[in-house]
Amino acid sequence: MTYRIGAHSTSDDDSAYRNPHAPEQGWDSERAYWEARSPIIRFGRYLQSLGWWSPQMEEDLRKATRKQVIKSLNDASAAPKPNNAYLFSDVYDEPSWLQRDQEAALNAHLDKYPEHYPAVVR
Amino acid sequence: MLSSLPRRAARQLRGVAAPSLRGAARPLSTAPSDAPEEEPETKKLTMVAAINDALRIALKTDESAVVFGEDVAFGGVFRCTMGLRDEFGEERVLNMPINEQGLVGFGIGLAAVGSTAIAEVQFADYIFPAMDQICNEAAKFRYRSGAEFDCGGLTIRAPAQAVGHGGHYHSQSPEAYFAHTPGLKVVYPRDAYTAKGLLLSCIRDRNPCLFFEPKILYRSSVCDVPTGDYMLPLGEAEVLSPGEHITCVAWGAQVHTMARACERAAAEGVSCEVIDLQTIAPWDMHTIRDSVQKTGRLLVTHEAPLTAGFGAEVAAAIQDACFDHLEAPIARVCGADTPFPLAFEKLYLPDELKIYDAIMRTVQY
Repeated sequence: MTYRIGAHSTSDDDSAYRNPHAPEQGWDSERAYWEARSPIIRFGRYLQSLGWWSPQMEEDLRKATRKQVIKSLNDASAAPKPNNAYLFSDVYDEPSWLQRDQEAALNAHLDKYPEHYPAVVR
Repeated sequence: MLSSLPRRAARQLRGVAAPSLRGAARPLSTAPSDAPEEEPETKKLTMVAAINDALRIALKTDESAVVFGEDVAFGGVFRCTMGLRDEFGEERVLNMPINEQGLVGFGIGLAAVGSTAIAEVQFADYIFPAMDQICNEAAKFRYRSGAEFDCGGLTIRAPAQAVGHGGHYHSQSPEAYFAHTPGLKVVYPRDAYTAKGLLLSCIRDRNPCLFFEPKILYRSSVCDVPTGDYMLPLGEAEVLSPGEHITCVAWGAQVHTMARACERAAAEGVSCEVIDLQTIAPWDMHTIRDSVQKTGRLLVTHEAPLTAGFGAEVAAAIQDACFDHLEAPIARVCGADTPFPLAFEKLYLPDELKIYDAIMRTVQY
């Protein structure tokens, strides 16, 4: 059995499907019950018992990682849109005639109606 | 120089006007035949509410009907099954583990022993793990037993098509894979009204049906929907507006994009016959053939990639049936031969302008 600790996404209200009660007595919530069984949390505790890891190191790592993820997210949001040639690349190692022909047809279309595709990067 | 797209059809496509005029005439009525014909009571519904309504009617009118899928018991991710568990109980509206092959297999078994099995696959993009159950088991059940057994009571609902931000795995249109497997029926509604009537037909049809719901229409399609029980025929295309110069065929959400392109062409004096195919398998070749024999031109458009998309089948069959009538090559305006892209969705899709351009090229050929 596995258990997902977090919601599916920021738009997911997990209270709709998460049981408000723990499956057994002795736990504050369903989440607390499963966290006690989490192999990641347990492995962290094991490393701490060996003296190889500490609550402080854990908190520092979490803070630094969170910062790094948020920075990456902001950098990506601020980056310009990719060139539309990337629509057709990486389907195969080399585009086949189908991707090449369709790219040419798309470019001809964009040339014909440029005012309708202002956000396109070429 | 020529008549423009009839306003009634154009309005109806936007879901603004009442399709009840059409709806009153077409549903296979459940009223006694000697009853005077009355305008059925209608209500403005979203497509989500219309689907919910169809499922409620199916559960009410058929005590063997069971609705199941991932998260359906609490309403489903798009809320199509809201309230059904409370109304019909957890033995008839039940959750499945995240295992599409398992839940479709369960549905086949349920249908094989005589129940009406209504499965939900949470996204059409995730139907592929169930491919073996659908194509090797459900589709061949009747044939391989010489009609001793069947699983005709099975219907699989799945949200499909583009939604604006769905990326690779929440945007696909997988109809062509299933149309390539005889024994399955494949159906696409274009609005709330057709969703309710076609879904009830799929549920009651004696063949396994795939019902692909264009997810972008779930809340944006609002129209007058009869409150009662009605069915719309499977295997029949619907001519939404008659035209003279070119036949334009689409299904699902693409019908609306195509209709806007036809309006744009109408402003240039081009009269398009707008057809919603509705059923992909078995498709209504005869309606398209009759139309193309009149107009002499055909355009097919779908969101799925061009190569081996269902448009290819339509084009091949129509050039065979209408070779002497065709004035121009059959145009296909389709998704690109790439995975469905996130960043390039707008460029990938066969949008209004690409369709308009193809209409003009075809009529000027």
